[in-house]
Amino acid sequence: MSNINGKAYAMNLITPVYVHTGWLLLFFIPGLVLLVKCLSYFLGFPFGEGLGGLWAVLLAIAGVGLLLLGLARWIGIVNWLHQYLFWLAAATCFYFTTQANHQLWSAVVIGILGLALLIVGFLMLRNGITWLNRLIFWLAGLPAFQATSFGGLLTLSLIHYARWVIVRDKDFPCFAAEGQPREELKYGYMFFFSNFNGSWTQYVDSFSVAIPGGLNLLWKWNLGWHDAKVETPFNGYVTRNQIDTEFYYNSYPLASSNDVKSAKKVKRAITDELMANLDTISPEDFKKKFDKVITERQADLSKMEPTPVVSLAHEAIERRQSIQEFEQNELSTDKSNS
Amino acid sequence: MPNQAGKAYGLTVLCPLKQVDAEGKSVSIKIKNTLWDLQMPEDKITNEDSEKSVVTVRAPDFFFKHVPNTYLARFYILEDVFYEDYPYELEHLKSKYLVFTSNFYGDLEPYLKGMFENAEKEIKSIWQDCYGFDSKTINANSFADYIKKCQVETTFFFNGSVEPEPKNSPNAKARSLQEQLKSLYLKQEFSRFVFQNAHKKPEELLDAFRKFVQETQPEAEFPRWKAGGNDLKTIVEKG
Repeated sequence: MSNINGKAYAMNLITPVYVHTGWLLLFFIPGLVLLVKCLSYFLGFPFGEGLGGLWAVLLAIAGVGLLLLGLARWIGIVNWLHQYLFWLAAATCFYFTTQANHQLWSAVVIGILGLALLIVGFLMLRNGITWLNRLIFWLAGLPAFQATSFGGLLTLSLIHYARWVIVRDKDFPCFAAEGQPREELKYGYMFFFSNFNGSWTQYVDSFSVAIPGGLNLLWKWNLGWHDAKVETPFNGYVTRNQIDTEFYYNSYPLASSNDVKSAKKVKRAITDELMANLDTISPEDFKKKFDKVITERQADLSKMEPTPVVSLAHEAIERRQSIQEFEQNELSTDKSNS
Repeated sequence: MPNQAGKAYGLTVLCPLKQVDAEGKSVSIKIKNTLWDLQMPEDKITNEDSEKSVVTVRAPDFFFKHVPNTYLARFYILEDVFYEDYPYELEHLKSKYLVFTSNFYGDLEPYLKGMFENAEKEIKSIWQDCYGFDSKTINANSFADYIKKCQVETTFFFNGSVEPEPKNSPNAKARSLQEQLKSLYLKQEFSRFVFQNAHKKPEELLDAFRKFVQETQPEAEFPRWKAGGNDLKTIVEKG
């Protein structure tokens, strides 16, 4: 296990995401059709034939049932078997969308049913949103939204690089010709890789405190996600879904992300400002320029040192080497005494 | 392209593992041991004066320091997916995967070829029991093809190591690893210079700075920090 290298910590999270998208078509389209039919009554547009009272009652029962089941699913007290009931109810409702109304009471019933389908469709949408996750990331990455989406990450300035990768079963590489079985998964999985400075606790806590809104946006649609604002369940979620790194290479273990950024500014100040006219500049003018540069760059000037524990393995080596040096000194002392 | 942020590339690779190797041993355990040996190689220290003459120690040493332009890289084994408790469903992966990620500067193809050319032995020892990898016939081109087959596309890549720079600056461009290591070296040396010389008179300060420029060569490639260096005593690479 090697989660740490110098000032960088490697975090790996894998969290499941819903993948089914069929619900969107089955609920949203009939729901929208029914709402349009309802509105057509009030706006005076002709839309289909009359709806009988018996059908209206059946549809009303179906609508209320869907609402209840949807709410039950929302609070997690029913399992996936109820999906099949939704399919049945949705198919029934879709059939009756070919019927229509010319009476106030049937228009209202259709309106309720349409609304119910949209709500259930929205709840079901949580089941089919690997594409929605991707859309959110795409939008969040646009220059216009970057400041609001990831401004907190830039402010925290803890991270060298981070990435999110959403895969479905068909995305897992497969060498079937060599006998590797194909993956068959009901859920998609979101991989999160982060390279950050500081300890696990500092990182997770600062995320929870500083940018819970951004975390909720990105993980909201993942199974088992609660809320980043409440620390204990949030820490539990991270711990449950984390995998230790086996090998972690860092090309600058003594530098933090801020050091890397500061170093660029310092180099620019040296080459663009202090080195300009270096052969001909007067000592007084150089002193003024030098004072100006170090005043402007004072936040970027610091000497980098190893962290107290570069890694647990490194600490173990240092301890062993110091013991070894001590033993050698003891031996040489014994030898000289004898 | 979501795999890239400027010139920084985020490579994510899932390589399916065979369950057991030719000797019937667990491949995932074997790879974990290999990765440990590769990052903490054994070193033997000999003390000629002592009867306990040879002591074996392990010290961090990463072959990635020889792979050009690698900022950060990691490996881990994905044994299975996690279960999020009722009412969600329990499911399992059919294979285990070696997960390899790298953040590097530049384009994928030359990076992968450079990786193979500089770490062929290590690559073979890590990947030898993966499906689709033939350690007998692999070369730089086929390794690049294999990795691309196992690559999964990044959904979103966040680069926290860059900041917008003035457009009129000659340095306003993405930084390669070498440039970053040069900048870190300069930051360290210039910080030391400021602490030692800021109080000096103008003539002495100017002389000291001219000497500093001569020694550190800010516009030259060297001296700079070594890739992967974690000891300040030996971190400077003269070139």
